[in-house]
Amino acid sequence: MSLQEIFLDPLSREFMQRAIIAALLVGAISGVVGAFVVVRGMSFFGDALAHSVLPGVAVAYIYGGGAAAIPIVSDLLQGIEQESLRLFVGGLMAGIFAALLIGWMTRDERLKDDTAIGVIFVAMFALGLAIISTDERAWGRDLLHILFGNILAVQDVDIYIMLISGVVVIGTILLFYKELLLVSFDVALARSLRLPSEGLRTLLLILIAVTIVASLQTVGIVLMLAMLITPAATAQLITKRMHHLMIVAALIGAFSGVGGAYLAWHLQIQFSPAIVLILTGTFGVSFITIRLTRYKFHNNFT
Amino acid sequence: MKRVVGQALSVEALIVENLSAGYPKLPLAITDVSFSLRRGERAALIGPNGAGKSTLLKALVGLIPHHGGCISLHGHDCSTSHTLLGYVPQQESIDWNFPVTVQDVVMMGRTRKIGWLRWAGRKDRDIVAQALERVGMMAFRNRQIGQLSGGQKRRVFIARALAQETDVLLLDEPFNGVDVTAQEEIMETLNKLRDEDITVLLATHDLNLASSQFDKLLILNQRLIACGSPAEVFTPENLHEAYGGRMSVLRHRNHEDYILVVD
Repeated sequence: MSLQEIFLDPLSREFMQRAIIAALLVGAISGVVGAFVVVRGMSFFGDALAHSVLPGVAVAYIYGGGAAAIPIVSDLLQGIEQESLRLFVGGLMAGIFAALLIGWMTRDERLKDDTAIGVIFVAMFALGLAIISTDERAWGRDLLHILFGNILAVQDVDIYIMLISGVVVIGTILLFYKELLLVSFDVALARSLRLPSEGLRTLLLILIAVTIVASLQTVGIVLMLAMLITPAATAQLITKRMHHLMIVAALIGAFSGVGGAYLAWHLQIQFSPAIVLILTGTFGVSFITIRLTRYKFHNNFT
Repeated sequence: MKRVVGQALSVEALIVENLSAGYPKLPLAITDVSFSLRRGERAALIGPNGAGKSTLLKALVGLIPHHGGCISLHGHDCSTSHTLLGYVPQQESIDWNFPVTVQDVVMMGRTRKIGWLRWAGRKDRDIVAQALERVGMMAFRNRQIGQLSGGQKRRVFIARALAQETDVLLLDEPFNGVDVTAQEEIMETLNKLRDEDITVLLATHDLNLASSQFDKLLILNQRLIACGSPAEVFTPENLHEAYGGRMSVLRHRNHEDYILVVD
């Protein structure tokens, strides 16, 4: 197979161009946000939040099919003509609702974090399934797309949504970087300096929610966690400062996104599993290399 | 021991009056604590487990609410002076694998001074370098924080408090869980800071160290039992009141008292 066949031929198809751009954007944004998810040990929360957006997406989706599942939310979403935007807003509402609910339930420490997360996330997921099951068309075909992504259906408007979300999320992280770093490392110091540590934590949860919803179409609910965790986990093996970790994770995410798109094209497999497999492969190779050479990058990488 | 005795020494650096504090919905852990520290003075806070040593320090920096009472720093009013206190917490909840270097950690002490929506400038980097120099950790500034010994980690956290541009430090059990070398390292750093007129209040279990290396002792058990120079307050009576049955006085043949405290 020539280089042209490997790299250029796929680009001749318009849907493939959009898929590559989408995978690149999602990989980069998830890498940056995932850095915080990894260093704070919030993997379970990330997975839960991805599943919790289902009812919001479902309501927004079913509205297009005509059935109004939850009256108030449907009315709210009714004003949005554009389907992609409606799915985004619906998912975001559900995601932020779940994030705030979990945050509130664990605030007085009477309930352990993972317990509250487990209770809320499966309940939200079940609610989403219930809503989708009211519409036969959605249940039969489109549920698969929501769960596992449908990158080939990405439209220009989806790319714009990802771009704007990315700018907002990464811009917010840059603006509040030193505060977010401090509350993640040592919440006691943050509080003794009179920083609003609860507010900063909530801000981070909302940023994670935005990232998840913006990535849904590309990777789907079930595989979202890998986009958040795996690039950052790989980056953590070879960096010792947070901003380096974020940059390396974004690069790994972006390259794996593009690599996954090519892999999917050539092997004729689905895109989202291909991206995840590339991500995990990168992690595996890094992990084993570091273990085998016993070389502690941690000490020397700057 | 070398001391810089200047005029400044007579100035009160920290005044605490009638302070009561505790976690919300629980009975007060400490009641009616009053004391003052002169500038450059080094004070040890001792008392049995559960006496409220950590609670007192946390209340002073505002981590837990205090009920009534007043905290004043260099004559400033208590509501504004909290951030002027440098707090070195117990470090058991820190994730040492966190991707930050020594100088990143010290820079965190600048967060409030830098202000919202701004990045660290040259002045902040200079202050961080100075703070690292003062605790003798400059050579380690690019190490990941987990790659340090126990004593070095404590010194970095002291540097972080110094980077807040404070001259009053509160240290919560810095000698817990470190070996003798680390303890000597920390004491050496504290000696150096005393020469710079930094006021220190340090909670500890080590009565030996407290009575031999500090200018002032605060003996606490829910309330302040005694406060003064070790010669005045390090007495069997005061210790018995604080530690109760957990201590006993052994009388030696030539009438020297040995105090044994089992905590």
